[in-house]
Amino acid sequence: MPDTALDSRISSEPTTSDSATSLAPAAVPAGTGGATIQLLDVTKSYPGQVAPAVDHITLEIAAGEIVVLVGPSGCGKTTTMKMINRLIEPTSGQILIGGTDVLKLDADEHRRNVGYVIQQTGLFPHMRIAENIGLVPRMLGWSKRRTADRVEELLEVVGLPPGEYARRYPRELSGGQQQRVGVARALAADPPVMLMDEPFGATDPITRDRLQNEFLRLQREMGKTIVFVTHDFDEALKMGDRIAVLGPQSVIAQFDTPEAILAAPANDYVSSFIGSGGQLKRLGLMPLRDADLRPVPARKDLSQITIDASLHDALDLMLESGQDKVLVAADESGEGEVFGSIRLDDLMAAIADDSADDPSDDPTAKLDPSAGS
Amino acid sequence: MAIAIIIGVGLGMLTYRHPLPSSLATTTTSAFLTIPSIALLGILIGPLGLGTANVLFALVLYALLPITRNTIVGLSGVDSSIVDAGRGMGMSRSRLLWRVSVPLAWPVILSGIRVSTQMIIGIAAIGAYVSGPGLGNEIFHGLARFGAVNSLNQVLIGTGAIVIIALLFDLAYIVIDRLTTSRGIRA
Repeated sequence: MPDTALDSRISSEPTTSDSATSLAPAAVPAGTGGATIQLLDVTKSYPGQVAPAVDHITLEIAAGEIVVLVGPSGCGKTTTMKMINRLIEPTSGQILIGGTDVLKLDADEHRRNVGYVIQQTGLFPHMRIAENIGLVPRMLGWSKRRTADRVEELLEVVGLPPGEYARRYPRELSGGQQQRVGVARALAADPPVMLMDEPFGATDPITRDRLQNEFLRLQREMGKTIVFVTHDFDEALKMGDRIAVLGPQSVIAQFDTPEAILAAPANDYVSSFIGSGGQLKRLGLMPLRDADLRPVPARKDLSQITIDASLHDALDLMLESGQDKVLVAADESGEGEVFGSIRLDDLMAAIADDSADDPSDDPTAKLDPSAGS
Repeated sequence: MAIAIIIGVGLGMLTYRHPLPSSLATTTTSAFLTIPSIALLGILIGPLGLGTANVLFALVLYALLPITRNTIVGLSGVDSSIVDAGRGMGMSRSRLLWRVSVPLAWPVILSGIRVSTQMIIGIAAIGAYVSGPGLGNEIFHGLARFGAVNSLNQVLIGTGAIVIIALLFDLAYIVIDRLTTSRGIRA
């Protein structure tokens, strides 16, 4: 599992569990890790339409990574994803998961081994939470006992105490809680691959941020292979180990790490997708933890920032405090250990360095396309 | 009634996913409904003769429309994202239908059954015209010797009994609805 690479992405999230509230997931039981996904020259065309919905896409996703498909509405990103679990059958091409050609498998059997999370949660309103989560294991022939244990375990994992939630109906839960159940349901049979179609799109920004952080934390322990579809580029930056920016007909405009895409957009289309503030977004992907800090200065009137924050947060604090440097400490209260300081020049240098960096120095380089094969 | 439920719900299940057959099914069943009951019973004397079989057949035809239509409306009204999720989880079409779509459409289907029942209880009374069984006989006997002693009472008793039966059935359906609809979707 590419732990180090993932760490760099979870900049805004504390890695220690003490800061976590009741949402802290319990230790995730060791399960199946990810499997590689390969789309080879996959096309989907509908009868009566001249242009194919998905035009010869080839995409290789390494085991254990999150690949985000991002693009405007109607670009075919959801179609591309749905071909992986064969909710949409490709017109031509090959789809391999862990080397197995999924188009040769029984479609229903295949789907039971692929987790699927959708925006509208898709929970069955007439079933209790426990029944919803236990559906796939039951279909796979697990015993009642084993299913019940697994359901309980998963509810703990997504931060919903089973005693309180297992016997409720979906409508008795908030949107964020429902989406957590959706994630738990997708994880129920411990599939190596998960497909997520704008899973957090219907929640408010605060809940979304929280769900994203929780999910990234879970993923660090699970190491599933995840295909994540969104139209929100900022979400893609946050969630993706690699991002595939898709144009019309699911044509890949650029497929690279968030850092690389921000540093060097392949063309105007990708730039337009990044929108304004691309350099600020790059700072947001750089954790203070990885920065070279200066010694603690003698001045005591400087503002403090936690080492779990990003360079972007540091810049924000400089602007807020009107000083060109801030202290980096274990926490913001001023009582924890102070590790050092960082200055405005350092931020500029970080952006310049990163752009000039040889790709092999990049901590995420190990997630290069070639690593997946 | 049971026959009508089986045929009606079955017809609805078979056709709800396809627009053409489902509109064909509703049109045909609603065409049955437009035939005046006395005429239908009369026509059926030809193939089925007088008696119970005749009445039963006619009632089934009349009961079909509300059941078929509500089944189609109920099943096609199930949120597409829920169906999508079910398919994505690897549920087969039949499992999805029985475990998800039917339970979710159930209140609508049941209300169709309820309307059908009310309707055919009324129509059943006319069945006495072709020597069918039932309370209609009281009404017809009374009407036949109208003016005689107790004839009006006989008519009223027959009518009253039919109304009471209809109300009791309605009550029963309310209870059935409470018992068979998941608490998760009850309004």
